[in-house]
Amino acid sequence: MHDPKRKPRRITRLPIAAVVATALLFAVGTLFAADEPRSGGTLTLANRGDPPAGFDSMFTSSIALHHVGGALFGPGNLVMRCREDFYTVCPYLALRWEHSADFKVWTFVLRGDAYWHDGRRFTAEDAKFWFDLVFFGARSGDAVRPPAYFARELGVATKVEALDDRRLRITFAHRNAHFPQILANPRFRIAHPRHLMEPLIEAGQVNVSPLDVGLVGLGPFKLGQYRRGSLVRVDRFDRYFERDPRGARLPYLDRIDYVIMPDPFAMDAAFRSGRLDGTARGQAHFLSRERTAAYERDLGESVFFARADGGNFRLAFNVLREGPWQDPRVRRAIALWIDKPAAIPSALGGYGWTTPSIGPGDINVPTEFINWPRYDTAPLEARRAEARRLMAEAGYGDGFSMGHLTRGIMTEGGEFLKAQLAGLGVDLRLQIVDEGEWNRARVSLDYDSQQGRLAPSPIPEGTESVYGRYELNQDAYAKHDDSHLDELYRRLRESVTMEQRIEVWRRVSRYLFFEQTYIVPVAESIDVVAYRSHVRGLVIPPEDMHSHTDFATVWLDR
Amino acid sequence: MGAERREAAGVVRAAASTARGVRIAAALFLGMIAVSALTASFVAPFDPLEQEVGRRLVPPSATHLFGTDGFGRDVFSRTVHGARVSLAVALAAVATAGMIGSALGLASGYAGGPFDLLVQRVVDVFLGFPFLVMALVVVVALSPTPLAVAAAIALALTPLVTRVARAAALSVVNEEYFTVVRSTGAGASRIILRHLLPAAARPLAAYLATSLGTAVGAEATLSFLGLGVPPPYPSWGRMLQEGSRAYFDAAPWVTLMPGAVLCLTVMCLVIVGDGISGRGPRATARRFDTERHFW
Repeated sequence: MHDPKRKPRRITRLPIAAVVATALLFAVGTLFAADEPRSGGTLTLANRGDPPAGFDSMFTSSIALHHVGGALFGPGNLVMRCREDFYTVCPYLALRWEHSADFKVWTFVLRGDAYWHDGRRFTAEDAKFWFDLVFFGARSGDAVRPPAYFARELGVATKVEALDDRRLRITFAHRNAHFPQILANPRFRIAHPRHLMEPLIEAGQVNVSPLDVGLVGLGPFKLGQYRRGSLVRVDRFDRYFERDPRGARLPYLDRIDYVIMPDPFAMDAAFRSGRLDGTARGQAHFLSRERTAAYERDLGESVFFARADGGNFRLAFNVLREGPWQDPRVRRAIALWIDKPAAIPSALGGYGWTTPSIGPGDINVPTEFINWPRYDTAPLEARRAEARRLMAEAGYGDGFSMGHLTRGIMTEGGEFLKAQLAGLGVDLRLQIVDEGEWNRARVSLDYDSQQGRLAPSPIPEGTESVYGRYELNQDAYAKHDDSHLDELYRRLRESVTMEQRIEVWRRVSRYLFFEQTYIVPVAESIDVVAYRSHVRGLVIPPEDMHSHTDFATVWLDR
Repeated sequence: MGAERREAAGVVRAAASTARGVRIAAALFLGMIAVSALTASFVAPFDPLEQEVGRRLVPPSATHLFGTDGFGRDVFSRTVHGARVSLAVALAAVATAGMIGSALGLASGYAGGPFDLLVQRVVDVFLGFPFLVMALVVVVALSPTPLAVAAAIALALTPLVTRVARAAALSVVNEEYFTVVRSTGAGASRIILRHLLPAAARPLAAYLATSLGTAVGAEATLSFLGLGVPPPYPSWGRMLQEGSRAYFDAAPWVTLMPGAVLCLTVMCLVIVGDGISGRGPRATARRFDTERHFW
């Protein structure tokens, strides 16, 4: 029997099935697409302060510059630390490189599709100009521009040559087996366009800074606007050369706004009220355990935390200045006296570690080069008894007074050390200074001791600028004139195998931290930065928050 | 009508009595704070600088009345020692401003003419700057030390004190009897000290007492901004800054306890200042009673 209702029913089933199938496909597609980077949008980040030194990466390692500098100048120079593996060197402005058999001559082949933000192509002459400034500085009449603060770290170069448009050759006075690894330090950014700076230098303006020439860089973002004390705005640079694995051009974002927020408390309020997508990097702005807990409680799953090893919190002496600390026994006594694990909750915001046996938590940092806390493994009481003996033996049983340069943005470290050393009879006089004075004083000899938690290079060959001799390394933590360290660093640079490097580095660190105790390593810090959960594609380095600040792979999943 | 007035008078007298009680309580509290500050080493149960990481961020308890801070330091001990700094700076600032401002104001009011004009225009210039802005500029220029903070607050207060002293002097100078005083041939300094200063004493004392509250608040503000006593030494403003920045969510007592003491101190200074000036319910009652005689 014919049922007139059946046919329409069949007819209606088909579209319904089609709709359901489409919906299912769409849902599945959406699920997969959720992880596909999307272009566009503005990322708003806090920045600790105005980038100092006219944004000149040759004169400052300040995170206030490098948080912004990655976007403007790129994540590397000729080479960079790989995004996938921090401890491997990847090509950046150079496509490949080779060295002579004796590791003294390095030749880089540059890519042909890198452009300055004003449209000029990057050439080997540009690279030569940058390396010349780094290694040799500049001179015009009586005006002298000093070499970059990290020049010594890269080795002693004798010659830099542009062989042709795309080939650069650097010749060293010594074997420099790990030059690309040292060069991959993200602090060594090319922020110096030859075509804009060279005429000014030749005209006598030798200390011209990147800011003076309009911050023309090679990075994924170009300058949009800079309002001192308020905002650094960068916009997508359409001729940037990097592409993602799908072949799409980087960066994904249209814009990044770096809001200058020197006050971490104001930054907390701004982030928690949704005005920021990410917090600033830098001491005092990195989150403490208490602040992280408050973020988690208020924001739940709409926030995530990036953690990276933040470098060593340490006390360093200026042994070029007269005082009891010139006696190695006194420095050793101070090292023995400090209750190092106590620094973690009070001076490091609750995030840190003191020995490899405790381990760096969930941060995957290779520890083959780290051995410093193993020198002082005796119980605290025994160490302190030995410290008292050494002080008495040195003639300072009643203690002494010592100045201590302390950054105003992070006095906790100074307060911790002052309270610790009071028990040994050392009156630590805190000289609390602002960032400008800190940047001046730290490269001078105008202090007795200093502390901080700067992160040196993750490879030992790249640490000479912070541990080396003052005459050659003005930014060194400890100020000394010990030429034995020159010899040790030379041996380190000439070591080829991993075993040789580890052996020499342990010799260097034993000499620095134990035999001479120019530096007292207190604890290794862990830096914590908060981001809203819609910030995707972020590359979090296992250590050194100066790294991967280009944000080229970041996209917004709002 | 008479009954209503009597009732109203009773209410006013009751308010005056309550106000008197409040003033006595305020004075006692201030006395307690002053004694604690003077004998901080005895009153504070712990060394304010001693760190003990094992007792970090402990909430208020019998052992630690105000809890402990991020370094494991006893907040009560730091508050007591902080009172010493805060009050010393405030007292020094007010005393300096009182001496300079009174001298200038009384001399200006007495002399009149071009000298008065000059002093008042200078005062106008200084009053053009907001109180805290001026103090901030001075501290930044002098480098942040307790002495610089006291000097900055004193400089910011002096123009106001000058104005109060001048007003009091003018009220006397314009009296008829003052013509007689002038005609005695006494020197200016004698006239100022013997006739003008006593007349200005009460408004000046009241103003300075209230200014003490302002100075305590200003010192705390400057310390909060990192321009006061350097760490690790405690001052109320610095303690507020340390607590609010790092631990307000996890350990509110680090901020709230010194904050409460600071608020109470400033409030008590204002209450006592009002009492000295004759403002408040008691004075109203007195006026009420005086007016009654004329009805």
